[in-house]
Amino acid sequence: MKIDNKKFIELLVEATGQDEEKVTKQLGELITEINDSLAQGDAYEIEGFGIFTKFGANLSFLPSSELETEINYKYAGMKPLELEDEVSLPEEEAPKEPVSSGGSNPFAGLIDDEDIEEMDKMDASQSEESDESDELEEVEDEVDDFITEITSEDSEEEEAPGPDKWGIDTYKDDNAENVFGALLGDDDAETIETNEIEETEEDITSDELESEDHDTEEESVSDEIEDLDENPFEEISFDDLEAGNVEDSEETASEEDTSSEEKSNDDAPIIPVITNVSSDLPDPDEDPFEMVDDLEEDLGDEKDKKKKKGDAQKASPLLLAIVIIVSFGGIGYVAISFGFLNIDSIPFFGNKQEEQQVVMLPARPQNNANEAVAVDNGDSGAPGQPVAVDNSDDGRPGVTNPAEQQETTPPPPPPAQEQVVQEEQLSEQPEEQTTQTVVQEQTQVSDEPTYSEPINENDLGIYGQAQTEMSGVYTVVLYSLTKESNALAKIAELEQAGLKARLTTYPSSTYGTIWRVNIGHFRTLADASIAIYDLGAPYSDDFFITKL
Amino acid sequence: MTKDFIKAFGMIIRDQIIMKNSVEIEGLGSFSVKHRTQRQEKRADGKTVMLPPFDGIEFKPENNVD
Repeated sequence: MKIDNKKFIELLVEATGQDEEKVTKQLGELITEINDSLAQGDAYEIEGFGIFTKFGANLSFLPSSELETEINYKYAGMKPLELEDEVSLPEEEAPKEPVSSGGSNPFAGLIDDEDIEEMDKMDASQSEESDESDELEEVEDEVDDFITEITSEDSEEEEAPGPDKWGIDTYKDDNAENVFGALLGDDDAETIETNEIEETEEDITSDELESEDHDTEEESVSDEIEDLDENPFEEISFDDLEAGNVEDSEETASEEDTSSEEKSNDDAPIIPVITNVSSDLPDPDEDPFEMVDDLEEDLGDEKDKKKKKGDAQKASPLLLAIVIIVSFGGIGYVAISFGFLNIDSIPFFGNKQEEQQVVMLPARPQNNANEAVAVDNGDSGAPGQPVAVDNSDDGRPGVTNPAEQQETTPPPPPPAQEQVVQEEQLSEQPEEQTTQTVVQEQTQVSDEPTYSEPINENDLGIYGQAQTEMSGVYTVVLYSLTKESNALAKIAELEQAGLKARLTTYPSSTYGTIWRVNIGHFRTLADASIAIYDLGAPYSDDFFITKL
Repeated sequence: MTKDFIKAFGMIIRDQIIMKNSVEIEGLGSFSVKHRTQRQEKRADGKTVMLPPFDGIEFKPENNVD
């Protein structure tokens, strides 16, 4: 609404009790006085209101601090909140221009610090995992054919979302796969070989094939080695590896593993992937090396064929390839088994939040006892428990199993069980980070719908009955009023609309007690702003969010 | 021009601004409210702070005021 001059004079008349003529005259005097002093280069101050002054040719008005405070009385007591972690919120997300209402991105900059932290953690851990899984998946792609042949297992093929250049792929060219493919008689590789045959129209010895392949590989590795046309692998000092690996390939799987690690220490380009992955091998007693043995058998056949064809020179790259393939086989197996984990772990991180929320339960007021018990039942009935059994070496069975046993006993008086819940939940939290298998278990456990819904529905949100004791949550302040009666009227009005209205007070030294009418309880600032914008006008026209 | 008048002058403008109205005074200019939502700000010491919302008063001088 706009107050024009006429209406302003009416208001002045009303406020001063003088007649209109007098007021108009005084207003004219005031304006002339202001303009006169400005013309003389002076500033004109109206006490308690502000200063009219000139900056260059522009007349400007500097409100006095009293005026500023008074027009901001709604926000009295709000101080800049220091966010715990400055984190990765991009500059663009913070609204540069003042977003009055319903801007393009009204929630930008309103993301809660906790949220940001969590997001940051999630990003970090996910990126780690995804990096790792990238490597694994790339390796998996290469070894995929072999694995499907040999183990006939279902290998989960995932699109590698990450950058192309990573790990081994930095050095990988299109022929890199064919190096191994050719040695193992891979179909694709064979077609490419035949193409080469047709192009070159020469008799093909395995020497040439290999040397060609090596050339291409070398180009990407380094220019210097390119000159060494014959058997470059030997030049790159693979002798030791061969020696070690020939023995190793006949020996046990664990030694195989270590040998591949050793080899990776010597070999420049392929190292990082192998070391990373093999160092991540979880259980030495797990299956992969049975499969590796199978691999070796199959490879042995291939090796024999090649040996028939070739001479002594080709033995070294062949052995190298075998070793690589064998280790890739192992890695691929691990990649598959852990690929599931990596993929499933994305929802896990979502659930981790729920986990944390649930852990809040014990700290909450007593009236949540029923929910806690519900959570307890959901937990004990969760299907994921057996998974953890094999990983229970890390000291947790002593903690949780007794609790589980207590849970499975017929329902005792609720308070005792609630304590059990608290103990168990407290004990569960540190376990989360122990091993990935435990992580999976947690995921399955927290998939139970009973886990978080009671909290959300009863305590959080914008509709329903307000929990007046609740603190540490965000709320939307719709009105700041100086009279309690007005505030109570507003509360009643909002409650009739089904909103979770709650009255809080703020003791202001300037204005006395300010009665604030809040709606909703939200875990994060972002939740609150989304909710209020969803609610729409008239509520979303003017509000602010604060923490209770 | 009495003191009461000056006081009333400031008070009326203030009240109208609080009510989100803009006030236009002939010969002087217009006052309006400019609301700034709460926002994040990164400070020089590396800390990120959430600034509270703020209502600012905006004065636009009349064109003929020189």
